[in-house]
Amino acid sequence: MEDRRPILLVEDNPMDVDLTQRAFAKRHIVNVLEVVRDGEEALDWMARWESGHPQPVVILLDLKLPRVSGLEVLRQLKAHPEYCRIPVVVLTTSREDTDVAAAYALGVNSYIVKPVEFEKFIEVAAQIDLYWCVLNQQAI
Amino acid sequence: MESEANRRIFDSLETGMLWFDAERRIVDANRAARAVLGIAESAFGARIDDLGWGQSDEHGEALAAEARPLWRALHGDGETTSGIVVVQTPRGQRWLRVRAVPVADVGQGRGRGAVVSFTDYTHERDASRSLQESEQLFRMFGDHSLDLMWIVDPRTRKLLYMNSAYERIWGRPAAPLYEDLAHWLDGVDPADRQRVAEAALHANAAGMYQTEYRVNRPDGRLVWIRGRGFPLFDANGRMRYMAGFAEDITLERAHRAAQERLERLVATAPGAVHSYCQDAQGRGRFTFASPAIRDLLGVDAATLVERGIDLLALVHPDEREAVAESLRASADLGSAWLATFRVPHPPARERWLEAHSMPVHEPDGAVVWHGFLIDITERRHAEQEIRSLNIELEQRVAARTAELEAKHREMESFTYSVSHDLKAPLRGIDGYSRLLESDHAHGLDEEGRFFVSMIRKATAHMGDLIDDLLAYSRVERGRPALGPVDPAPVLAAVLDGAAEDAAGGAVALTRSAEPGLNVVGEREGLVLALRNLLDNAIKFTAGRPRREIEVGVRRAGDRALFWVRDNGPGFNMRYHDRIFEIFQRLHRAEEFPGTGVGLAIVRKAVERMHGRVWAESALGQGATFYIELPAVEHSPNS
Repeated sequence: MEDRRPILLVEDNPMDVDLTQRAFAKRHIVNVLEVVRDGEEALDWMARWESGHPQPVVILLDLKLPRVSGLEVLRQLKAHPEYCRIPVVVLTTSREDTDVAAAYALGVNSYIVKPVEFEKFIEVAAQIDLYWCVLNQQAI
Repeated sequence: MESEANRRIFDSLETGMLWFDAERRIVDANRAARAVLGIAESAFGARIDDLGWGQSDEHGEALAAEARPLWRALHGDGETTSGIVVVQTPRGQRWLRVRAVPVADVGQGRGRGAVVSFTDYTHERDASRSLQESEQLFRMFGDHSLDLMWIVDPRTRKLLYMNSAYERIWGRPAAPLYEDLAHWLDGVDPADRQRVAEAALHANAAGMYQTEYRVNRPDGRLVWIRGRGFPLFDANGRMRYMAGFAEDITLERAHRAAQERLERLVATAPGAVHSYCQDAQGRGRFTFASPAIRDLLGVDAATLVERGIDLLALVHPDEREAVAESLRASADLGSAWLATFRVPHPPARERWLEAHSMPVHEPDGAVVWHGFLIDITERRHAEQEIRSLNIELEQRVAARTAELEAKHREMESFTYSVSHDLKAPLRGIDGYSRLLESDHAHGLDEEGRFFVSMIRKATAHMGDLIDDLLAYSRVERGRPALGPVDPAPVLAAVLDGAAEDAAGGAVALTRSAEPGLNVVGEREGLVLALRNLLDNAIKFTAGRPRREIEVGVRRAGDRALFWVRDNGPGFNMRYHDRIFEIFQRLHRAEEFPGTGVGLAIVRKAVERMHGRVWAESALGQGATFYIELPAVEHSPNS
């Protein structure tokens, strides 16, 4: 029952991208990790899905992004009649109440604060995989 | 009177003459006697007693026969007798002065008899009586006069007449004045004596005088007198008398003084005093106004009253209806008329006036307001200036607040991005050092592995520091919503958070909350402060053989006092103030872990609630931390 569609990571920090890839590798997660480096690029991805590119099983979205912010990306995704169904997990350093509230108001599916410790990050990666790629029944 | 010549002589006399015989029979009477007594010649020969004439004396007592002059002359020793006889004759009562002379022969062969002569003074007596009556009337009149009346003969300087008012006004007897006129100055106040005497003296030349002076009564009262004197002339134009009046004007002068005082007050009062009348039909006019009204209304007082100008006509057109309405309300309720309105005033553009007056209802349906108007133009201007200054001040405060809030937001976003940006590289250091440790351990010797673990430890500490710094800055956010807070559930919530430690049997936690006590504060802030204090206590009792922590709240006057007491190592009170500062620590990291932010968060949270935090401790004696907040009475409704 494992969903092997790609996971879309929206993250501008190259080190975080690398560590995320390594964390997923450590847990033997086989889904392809597609990476976009800013908000604008993330929104461009919608056009790809239009032209047949498979939609991701989950989008991991940083909030602090160059050009278009993570919250704006979230807003546009959740305003879309079709793509609003793609689960979005905010993965960020911010534990600000305002950010959490704003994200949930826009319809985010989960909000995870990036741990500093790598071990905890590996656990987070595992849980994401388990919950969104294995257990969650997607609405498609 | 035998002869014709004698008869003519007797008849020409004005004196009445009667001849009587010894039996008192009328023998003869001359023309005057016949005319006065109404005796016809037919009565000759009749006894006088038989004529039925009542005879009485001048006092009206009936005259006995023996007392009458005729009887006495006939029966006497030959002397002439006289007396007054009032006779009731057919012609009325006559007053007669009678003389009777006995004679040896009355003639006509009648022998011895008497001749009675009389003068009729009935007219003189009547005249004198009417004079007396008129004099009496004059005296009565004079004595009923409240004013003193006097008449003096200037040649003899004798007082001829003075009414009883003298004794009443002067309070002195009048008799000495009749002796010596100079006594009239006795009662006059010494200060006025010379002036009054001179005025009276000059009256002779000037004709009339008037003067006011004081009189000291023997009973000590002071009386003010207005004296007037004038000459009286005879038919030939010569001065015969000096006469005059003197009136007591004490009350009048008091009224005059009161009036003058009132006028002075009115003149110096701020604003203008007025009486404003509205008749039954609602037509208004000024019936009185003090001179100052000119400054207020631009119309002088005399013009205002003479022309019957209506106040409403002078009020600014925009406010006329409101002023009329306030007058109607005052008239209807009988309450004071208080109003503020503008009056166009050409030289000064316009004035602001304030009216204060009380209405009085007249019997004819009119209402009169007695009161005053004051000019409040300057006050209005000052008030307006204060208002505009206040508005300006508020705008400046608002601008400054907005500026501060902008700074604050800037600071927040700075802290936010700093923590975000600091954590990203930290994650890299931790992640790669972990990968080095796990994937490349074989390439590292013992020392290398130790270095990596130190890098990871430092990274973890740095992560904690950033988290605490964020927590500290978060305390500042927004304004606290202060209100009554029940401390008991707060304590329960805080202790539940620590229950894990306590449940492990590691810590003996006790709690005490005074019932019925509410504090003014913010629940979240209070929880944050107490949780930090409790975390602190748990941390510092680590390693003790028996860890005891007590948390409680009690009333202290109008304040509520929270405390968290531990049996940890305590601290030197010298460092009391430092422990509440951020990043300040009294212990080395290997003794007790920490970032030095917890107590700074406590202080900040408590200060936001206008409370106070402090600690009491001594080295080795444990420590007690206190939080003081305002208390409110616990009401069942809240």
